[in-house]
Amino acid sequence: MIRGLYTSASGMLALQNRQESLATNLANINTPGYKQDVGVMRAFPEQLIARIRDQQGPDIQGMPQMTGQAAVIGRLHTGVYMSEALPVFAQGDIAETHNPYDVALMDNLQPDGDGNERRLFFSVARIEDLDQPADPEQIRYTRSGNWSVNADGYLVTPDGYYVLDNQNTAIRINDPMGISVGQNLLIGTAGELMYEDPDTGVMTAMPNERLGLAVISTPQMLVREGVGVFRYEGDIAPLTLEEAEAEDQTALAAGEYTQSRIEGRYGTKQGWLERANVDPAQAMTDMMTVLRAYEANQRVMTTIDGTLEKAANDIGKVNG
Amino acid sequence: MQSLNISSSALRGIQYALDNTANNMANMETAGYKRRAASFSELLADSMNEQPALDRENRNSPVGLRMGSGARLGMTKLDMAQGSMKPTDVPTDLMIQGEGFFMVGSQMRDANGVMKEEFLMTRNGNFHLEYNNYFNGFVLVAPTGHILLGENGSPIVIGEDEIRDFEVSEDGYIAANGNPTFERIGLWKSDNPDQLKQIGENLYDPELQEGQDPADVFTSSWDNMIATIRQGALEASNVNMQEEMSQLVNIQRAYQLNSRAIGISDQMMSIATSIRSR
Repeated sequence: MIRGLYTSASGMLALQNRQESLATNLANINTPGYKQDVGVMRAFPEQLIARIRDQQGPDIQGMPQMTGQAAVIGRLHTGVYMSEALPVFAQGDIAETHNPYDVALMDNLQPDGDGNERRLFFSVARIEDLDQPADPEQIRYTRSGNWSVNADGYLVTPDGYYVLDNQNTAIRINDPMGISVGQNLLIGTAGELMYEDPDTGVMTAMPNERLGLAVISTPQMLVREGVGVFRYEGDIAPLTLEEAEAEDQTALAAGEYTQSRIEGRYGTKQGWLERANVDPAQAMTDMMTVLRAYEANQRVMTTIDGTLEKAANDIGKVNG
Repeated sequence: MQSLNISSSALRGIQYALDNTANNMANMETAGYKRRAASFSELLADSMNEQPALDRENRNSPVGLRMGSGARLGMTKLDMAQGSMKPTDVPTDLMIQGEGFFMVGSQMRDANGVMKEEFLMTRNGNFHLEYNNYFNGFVLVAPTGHILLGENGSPIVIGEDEIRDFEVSEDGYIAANGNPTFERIGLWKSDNPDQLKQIGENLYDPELQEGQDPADVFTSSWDNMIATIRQGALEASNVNMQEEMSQLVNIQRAYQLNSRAIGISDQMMSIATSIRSR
């Protein structure tokens, strides 16, 4: 009976967590590149439940009594908790913004040879010395291509992470000593950084050649750090897009695939943003389900409380 | 309950976005106005690491439960897209076609009567001619009272005679009463207009240091001719009604969803408080 009280309390706590993750999804409904979290509920480990064996059969003189020994009833979970919040990396809708520093990622990568889901990300990092490539420990991944250029001319995210190129160095758009392209930056479909030379009108590559696009084949191992970035904790190292393409070509040449699984299946689109992949109708429905389940748990608790009240106040009452 | 904070942080951000949209729509008819586009950003995520030991197996993600804490307005980006042309046939109305800003200076003077040096940038070419006693001649004055500066960074003074005929060529040279004055309007291009400080009245403050020349910081639009001037027209604002309205719908629905989320969290709290009362 007391056990049931704690079981329904754990249910209420887990549902509160679930409500928080749903509220976060709805809060970020307009955040570019946001990936919705799905709460995973899990039962507490099973316990073996036993009762004390009552006396069975008649009382015979000289026969030992078998009472006081455990008789197994069965197994029981004594509660539930929210074990993980898994981000869903499905592609979000893309919306046009006309801003040259907005880039949408579109990926349609096929699963790799082992059947793992593959997703494409931008690499960003906090960098101390901007002349050096980013420390691999500091590299984070994001789907949000909502950038601006800071006072020193580097491409940054709204939270101050530097956007990295394929050499993992910060991308400088406006260099007072070198090339300063301002809003004339052009980004190709594979993340190539270019500008039109004002003197010759020729399309020229920037000193930072391409955006650092990373292919991650175990996206569920990405740890949400907030502010739109993820830290990767998986064992399979993220591949740069070039490496992934090279592997794809090797596999294709070896006859493992009949058609390319990467080439032509992704694109960066400048002047567009990927919107959050939150489904408001689903989130609202889930929230109502959570509310009712929460209420049900509370009812169970109240009912158990009522039973306890009977035990405490009514049993053994004289002249009640 | 954290979910109340999550939803209310989002409501605050959405309200700022609504303010931004309202400002864009209010300035729909403002000459030379450049719209701002609001964009949201996620807040930091909490990580609850203490999970049952058995939990380390049979899970998909690294250990811990990570929960976001809401959203905020990340930034409002300045959209420098060209506005459409609004012909006025007023000779002193100038429109920039292409990239660049007019540079205007203040008419304020210090205690010794010397003009205070100040550089501000604007896209609004709604100037008028005014006789200036300090310069002993006619100057072009912006609606805010600032004087239009030439390509060398000093005010353009167009003689003291009454001006009957005023002409500005496409490349910014001014001719008065049929005679060229050799004064050229300065147009400056900022590589990063987002870094200009918007100070209202359609002005942007480049925040130049004392004694710093605009040419040190900005490139002249006359190099490579990335802009031309059109006389007798104004640049309409680049606010697009359809876009702002759809943004408005978007914002309103997001606000409703988040307030519903607050309502549900509130109901959950009231359920929790009524555990003891039957």
